[in-house]
Amino acid sequence: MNAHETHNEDDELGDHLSQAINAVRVQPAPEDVGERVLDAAASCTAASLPVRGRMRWYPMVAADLAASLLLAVGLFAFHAVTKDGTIGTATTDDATGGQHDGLLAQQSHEDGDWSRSPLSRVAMEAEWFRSERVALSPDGKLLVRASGEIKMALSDDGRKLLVRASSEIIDLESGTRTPIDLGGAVYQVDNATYSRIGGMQLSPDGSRIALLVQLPHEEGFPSIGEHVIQLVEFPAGRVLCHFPAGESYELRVAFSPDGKQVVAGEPDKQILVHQWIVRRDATTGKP
Amino acid sequence: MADWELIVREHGPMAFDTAWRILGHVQDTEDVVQESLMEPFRLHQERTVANWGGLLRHLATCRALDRVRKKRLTVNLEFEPPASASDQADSIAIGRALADRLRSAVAQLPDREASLFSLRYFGEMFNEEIAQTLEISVDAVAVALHKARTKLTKLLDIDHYQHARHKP
Repeated sequence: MNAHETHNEDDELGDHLSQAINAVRVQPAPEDVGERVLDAAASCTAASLPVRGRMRWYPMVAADLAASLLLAVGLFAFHAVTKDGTIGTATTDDATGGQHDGLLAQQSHEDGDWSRSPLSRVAMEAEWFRSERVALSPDGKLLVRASGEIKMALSDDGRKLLVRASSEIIDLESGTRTPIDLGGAVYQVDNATYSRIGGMQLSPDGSRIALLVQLPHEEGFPSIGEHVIQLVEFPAGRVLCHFPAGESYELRVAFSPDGKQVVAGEPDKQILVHQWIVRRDATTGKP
Repeated sequence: MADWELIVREHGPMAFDTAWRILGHVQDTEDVVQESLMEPFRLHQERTVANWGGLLRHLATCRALDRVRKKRLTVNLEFEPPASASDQADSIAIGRALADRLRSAVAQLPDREASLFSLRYFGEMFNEEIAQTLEISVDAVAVALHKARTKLTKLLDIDHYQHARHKP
């Protein structure tokens, strides 16, 4: 930048804006936090899987542990992991979060190295990619994709909302896709304008899907909002029940290892689910 | 393949500072910086990037603005009018309030203007560097910055006027 340009820009700033910029700049950044984050990032290796949210760089050292989690994560890729370390990945190719086709691939992790075998290119429907969630069946052959596209219909008085979540099952070997109806539910809402899938997990035995649905926020932002969990029969797609899951942007859903309970909670730096907000029977939805 | 650790050590701090200035919140900044480093980590294995510093600051800016906008619904961005500026504590409080007002105002700008303004004034990048990073012309950067400054000046002046009316 030359002196002339700087001079002109400074003239345009005005007193209040100039003071405000200075006020932001003089607030000291927390050095210890910065060092911690950057140290973790600098030590990231190919055997580390970046995890979105408040989980940190997550070392893929325990396939069994990874298999119990739905890694509905990543800014540009969404992974699900089976016990043998196979990863199903749905990716988008747009760093800005646009609406593009994606690659469906299978990855494996052997002897510390990642290998990737593209299976098929899947045309993803237009949707907000961050709402994408995937899960693998226990045998690693079927991938369930829940999109953020939720069909909604308001009642005549505008105070009830019918939410129907679209999803599909993708055969990882053949690439064939089978749409499934995750069903719907009626919610009491006001000024419904937005909703999204906040998370999804297959039960350990592969018989049910726990779907975290964020109810619309009155101002249309996918921010803090009320969530419900839908328990859906897999692969039939029949909704077994639904119940409130709490309010948090960081909310996650998970089955207990024995598949008997489903929980929702907020992720922490150390573990996936830090605080149990709800804990329900995984078939009936009862506390 | 570029040395990832070197990239992080050399350019990470400025990306962190940029996100911090946009957010002003420790935990959010921590999350945003980590998120914004995911894509560069993948990229460094696959291709050459001409300006890692610009890219890291750009991604940190995008994620931070995204985070600010999401939090607008839950955080009351109306500043509390400071009682007086008679001592150092009040000066600090006034400075924080002013900084928060600017952050809130920036979040109200269109994406492009908010991003460019943040890179220019929070990321402290030159216009030419921004243009190179975003692969747009220097003129386009200048125009967007001009629009951003004009809108922010109006927003802050309105805020200032409302603030003055609340004073006893």
